[in-house]
Parts: sequence; structure tokens; C-alpha cells
Amino acid sequence: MNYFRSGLLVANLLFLTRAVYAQKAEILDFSFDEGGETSQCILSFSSIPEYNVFILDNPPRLVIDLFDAKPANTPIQPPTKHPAFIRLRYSQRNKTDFRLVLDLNKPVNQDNPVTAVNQSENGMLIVQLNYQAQNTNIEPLTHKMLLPLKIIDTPSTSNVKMDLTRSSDEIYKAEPVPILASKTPLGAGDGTDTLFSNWEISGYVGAENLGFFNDGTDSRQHNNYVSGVIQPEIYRRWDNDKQSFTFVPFYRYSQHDNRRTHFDIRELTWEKATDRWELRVGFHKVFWGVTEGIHLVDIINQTDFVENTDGEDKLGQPMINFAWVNDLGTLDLFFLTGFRERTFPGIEGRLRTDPMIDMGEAQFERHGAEKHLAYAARWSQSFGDWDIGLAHFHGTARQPTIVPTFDTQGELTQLIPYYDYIDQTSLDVQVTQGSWLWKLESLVRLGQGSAIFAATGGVEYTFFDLFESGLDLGVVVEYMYDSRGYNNMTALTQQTIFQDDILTALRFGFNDVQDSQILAGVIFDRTHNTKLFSVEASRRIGDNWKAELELRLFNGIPASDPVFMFKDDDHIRAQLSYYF
Amino acid sequence: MKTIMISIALGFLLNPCFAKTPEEIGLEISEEVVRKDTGWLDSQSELKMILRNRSGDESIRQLRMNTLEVNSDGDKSLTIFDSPADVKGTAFLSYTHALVPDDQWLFLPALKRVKRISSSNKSGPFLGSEFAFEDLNSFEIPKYKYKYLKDEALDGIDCFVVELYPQYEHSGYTRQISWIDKARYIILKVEYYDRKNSLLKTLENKDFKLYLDQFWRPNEMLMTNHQNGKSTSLITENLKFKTGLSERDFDQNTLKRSR
Repeated sequence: MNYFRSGLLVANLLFLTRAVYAQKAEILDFSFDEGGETSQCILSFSSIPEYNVFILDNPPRLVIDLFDAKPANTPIQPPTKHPAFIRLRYSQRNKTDFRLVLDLNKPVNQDNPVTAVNQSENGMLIVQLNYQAQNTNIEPLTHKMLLPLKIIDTPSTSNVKMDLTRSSDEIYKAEPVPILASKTPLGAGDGTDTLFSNWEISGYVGAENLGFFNDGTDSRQHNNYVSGVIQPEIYRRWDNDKQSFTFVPFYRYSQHDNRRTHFDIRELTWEKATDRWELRVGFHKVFWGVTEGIHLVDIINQTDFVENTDGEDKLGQPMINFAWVNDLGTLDLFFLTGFRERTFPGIEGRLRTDPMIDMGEAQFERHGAEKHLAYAARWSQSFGDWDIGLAHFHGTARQPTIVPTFDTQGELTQLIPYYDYIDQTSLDVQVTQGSWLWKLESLVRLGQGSAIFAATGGVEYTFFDLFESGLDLGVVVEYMYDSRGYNNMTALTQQTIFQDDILTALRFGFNDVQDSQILAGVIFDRTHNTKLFSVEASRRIGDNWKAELELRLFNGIPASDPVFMFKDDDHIRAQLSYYF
Repeated sequence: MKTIMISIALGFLLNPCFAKTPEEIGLEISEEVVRKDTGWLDSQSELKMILRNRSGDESIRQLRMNTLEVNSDGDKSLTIFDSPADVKGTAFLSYTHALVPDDQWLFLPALKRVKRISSSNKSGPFLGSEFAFEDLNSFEIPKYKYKYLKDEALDGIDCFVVELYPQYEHSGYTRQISWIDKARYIILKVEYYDRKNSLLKTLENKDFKLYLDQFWRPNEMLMTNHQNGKSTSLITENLKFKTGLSERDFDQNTLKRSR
């Protein structure tokens, strides 16, 4: 009895761990016999792998999945149209499994469409297809054709006679058609697509009130601003979801502040994705980075500074982005085809310098095409707990140097943005271990004065489901360093306000039906002892409304700190949005 | 040879003469549940989640979920949120593993940011519902220890009653009691006991449909929380298997393109 049980245990173990030790089977040959109401695929192998054979409808496809198997040679497509199928496709589903798909050109018998016969003694798998009985108008002739695996080095081990006489110019190498193409979308497929169908429209409209507790340093500034915003999104996908078009215009009207009243094309993108690459052309938004306090390495898009000082709102960037997806990660190549200037508040606006930054007088290191064209590349990959991104940017800086002009009395009269031509190399890393997230962003920038080194990093720890209430409490601690920060003049001109600062924040996620969240934090400047307090809260109301609240306080700012310009700008921002 | 092995295993399982411990029987039943649900390769589904509070008010979430069956590891899944409108386009990518922590990424469409997130959140609610993250993860044998309790009929269906003890970290449960249909090896009902070992929730899987002549799936999963009086229905509105998804449909690039 015990004997039997241990034997069984071993047998079960063998069964379960098949994938671990199994030799990869080679697919040596594949032929297809056509014969009226039935036809046969014959696959021959070095050893028969595990397989799964089935039919997919609309359009009819025969799918043969082979586990722990690979073709002995690159499969090739038959040169002429075959009476039984339109084309053959194949893909490596993952590192071990191989899939063959035949697009059939006639319907199969619904009751008994396919039978697979395993002839392990001669290393063959025979897949028999049964067609619908009424389909008799097909060629009755037995049509034999050698299909894709033409064995050049290995002699065929199959004992079935095959037509190996076809000359090499009669066969052509097939485009490896990704299996993605066979995906039948749950929505409408290509067949019912017209240019005017299947457009998806969504987006939001919002009303905002921005209130300041104190008078501004400039008497032309106001204490309360009402504004409205709309951002619709028009989207369409086709080609089995491989191609898509997105259009996201944006408009904000702001009372008093003529610079904050602005229009932008956030997105106007055509996108195509295949098994190995993705291509995006048009206005698009790209985010790089991992940290919460500042987004140091995020450089593709210009910051829409009038929208919010947190740097998370971006202007649409015209680009051509090619992403090459392979086993070593993703390599994104960017050709950025138009420079966008950073937005700054107008003369009546708040959260601005005094005097205001004069966008109309902006100056550039390079002109013409050189000013507008930028190039970037980023490699990113995940290794277990590690997510890594390594990037380089070459072109006009997104962050301008602010150049002051003084009159003869030494009074500051004007501030002009100056856009340098830079090279920036950056690294971003996140290590995710249990409830701990370890984050680092760092960069080296050349071309904006002397070489700049900046880094930010820290930890985020989350207590999930605190006291079994569903509440998540996250604690974020990050340090920010910038080599420009110790020179006050540089700090002012390059807006480097986070040069030696520590962010401490608490994030409350209530995980309730309304998706309520609160993020409260303080950034402490170790050099100037300045404290910036920030509270952000949001909550859904009903199904379509969302309320957001944002409180920012600038506390104890000495005149030496470049954020001194915001010393009177404590404010509260409330927005109510309707999503459609 | 394999067929022989399976029939030996089945014979072994069904033959009461062998003196087996309840733990061994529980494990064997659970292995058979997993084995019977192997080979669907991938699936695409459209789901509706109905959240009900104590007074019966309803709130609806619409989501789509693509899943890829992974041999000898946990499944991969990509979930895309369609409603409520303010989270439309948010997508969640998960690589589940049997015992090491899962890999999870979240895509935030407003920032176009992909965020790697901690997978330690097991017991917390999914989308404010009564389903915890751990209730929706793929079922892998090493995640639990098992104990067969008894045979019992549930609504006239003969069932095995098996108790499961989570072996992974951060679970909100001390144990789960499952009612498993003897004929089809599908889970009809689960009772979840909280960390204080009192009954927290009951899951009822209803209206089973047979897919590809092989795989049973419930049309509705109803989770009732006995402690707060709330309930959530997860309704399958559309489900397809063997749609031809590959690993590429579950990478961060696809996550970024999801809508």
C-alpha cells in the first residue's frame, strides 16, 4: 500500500513538473492535405510535445498550440493560394510555447470540427479537419502542399512522403504575423467599421475657484479667481485594436488672468502597435519617473505651469515616438518636432514672480529648426522587483533660465525666460518589496551653465487595510538635491527651489465607493528653513461628479529663498468636475 | 501514459478504501479543481460590478479583463476600468505568483503614468467593493493548506466541503470554507472567516455556463458581507476563451495603451 502511494506521489510530481525538465520539442515539418469534406494537417516532431488543437469562429481559424516546442526553422508561407486556407500565421506565445493559426476559407463542421491523432511512434501529430457537409463546391482533388517548415539542414524524420521539390524562389518568407492580429475584439470588429462608427467620446468639464488668503505683492493681482475648464477626449480604435486615434483638446478660461486663459492640444495622436514595436505620431504626452515630490527626469513635455505649480500638467508635445519591444526591455526613440514654451501667469495672475516673467520676450540659445527639434531615447525594463529607466535628451531645455534685467538704480525691472540647448542623461529606479517602494531619480545636465547634478529619492511605505477598515495609509519620505541650489542667484534664475529639501507626506486612501483620497505633506528646505504645506483631497459624488480640494501654504520664507516670491500666495483651490 | 496516471489519480481519489487524512483529501480535491480548469489559455471578459450598501442603494462599475493562463506560475491579467467616468481609462496589470508576491502596475491616464504598486494589499477592498484583492486573484494550489470536512448537498447538488487556510502573507482571513460540486469540480459557495475567526463574507457563484464544452464559469458572483450589510455582484456580461492573446498583451507598453 505504502509502496503504491509513494509511487503515485512520484508520478504526480512528474506530471506537475513537466514544464521544468521537458526537452524542447522541435517541429520538423508541417504539411497540409486537402480532400473535399475533410483535410489533414500533418506535423512531425523530434518528440511529440503537449498540444492543444481547437477551432475559432468568425472567421474560421484552426489553432494549434504546442507547449515546450519550437520550429526547427523559420516557417515560410505557401506561395499560392491554397484551396483550404487563406494564410498561415504563427507566433511564439511566450518563451516555451508556439502557436500556429490557419485562417480557413470555408466553415467547419460545428459538431465535430477537428480531431487530433497522436502518432507518437513515428513522431507525428495528425490534425483532421471536418467541413460542413453542404460545402461540396470545393475542389475534390487531393491537394498536397508542403507548408512552412522547409528543413534545410535537418533531414526529415517523417515517413510521410512530402513534396520537397519546390524550388526556393517559389517560396517566400512570410511576414511574421503577430497572433495579436487574430484577437477578436469584444467590440465591433473590422467588418462593421466605417469611418463614422465606433468613436468614443469622454472627458470632463469643471468649475474652479482659486482663493488667496492675503493680498498679492503687486496691486494688480486679485484675491479670488473663478475659472472653467473643458477637456473632451475623442477616441477611435480599429484594425483589431492595433491602430488608434486620440484627440484631446483642452481649454481653460480664467477670470482676470489672461495667461491662464489658454487653449492646448493635449493629444492628437495616431498610434499603431504590433508584436514587436509601437509607433505614435502627433501631439502626445509621455511621463517618466517614479517619485512623488518632484518629477525630475520627466522632460518630454513642457510643463503647463499656469494650470498648477505641481508640474503635473503638461502641454501636448508634437513627436514621432517609436518603441521597440523585445526581451531586453523597451527602447523608446523620440523625435520631438516642435518646441513649446513654458506657460507663466499673466500680470493679474497669482503665483508669479514680481516683476512677472515676460513670455513674449523669451530668448533661445538655438534658432529655427535647431530650437524646435529635440531627440530623446529611453530604455526601460523590469527585473523582478526592479523597474529601471535610463534616458537621454538632446535639445532645447524645457526648464528656462530666468534672466533678470536691472535699471540704472539697480532695481529689478524685467524677468525673461531663456531656453538653453542641453544634453540630459537620467536614471529612474524603483524597487518594490512588500509594502516598501524604494525610489530614485537622478540626472546630469550639460549646457545650462556648469554641469548640473540633481537627484531625488526616498521611500514609500503603505499600511494596507488599516484596522480592517479598508483604509490605506501611505507614508512618503523623499529627499531632493540639486547642485545649483547653493548659489541663491542661480537658484532664482533657474527656479531650483528644491535643492536640499525633504518631503514628508501621508497618503490616505479610503477605498470607499466614492474613492476618497487625501494627500497631505510638507516640504522642508534645509538651507532656508522654509516649509511648504500642501493638502490635496478628492472624492467622487454620485457616478459622474468629482470634487477636488487643494490647499498650499508657504510658511516662514526668508527673503533669501527663491520661493520668497510666493510668500503671500497661500491659497485654496476647489474644483468641481463633471465627467462624461 | 499520462492518461493512465490521471486515471490512477482519479481512482485513488474516489476510492474510500485508502486511509487518507482529511488534509490529503482536501488537497486532492483542490488539485482536481485546478486541473479541470487548465487549458483555457486566455480569456477576454466584460464585467459589471454592482455595489449595494445596507439600504440597497446601488453603484455600478464597468470593467474589462483580459487574462492569460501561465504554465507553472500564476496567471497574468490586465483590467481596464470603463466607469465610473472619472476613473475611465485607468488600467491594472498583474502578474500573479503562487507564493512570492505578485507584480502589479497601475496606469493613471491623466498623468500617463505607469506606477509599480505594492502587491501586499490582499485584504483591502477592490474598487470599494466587498471583494478583496485576494478574492479575485488566480487560484494557485500552494497559496493554501487544505482540509476536507464533509460531503454535503447544496441546493440539491452533492458537494465536497473543504476548508482552506491561506499561506500567503497579509491575508484578511483565518480560513475559507468552500462547497465544491462533486460532479463538475467547481466552487459553488465560499464562506470567509476574518482574522478574529468570525464569519465575514459569503460568496455565491451563480448561473454557471459551460464554455468550450469544458470550462464552467459563473455568470454572477455575489459577495455578501455579514458584518457591514453590504454586498457586491460581479456579473459577467461577455466572456470569450482562447482569443489568441499573448504575453505581449500583458506588458507595460500595452498597459499604457489600454482604454
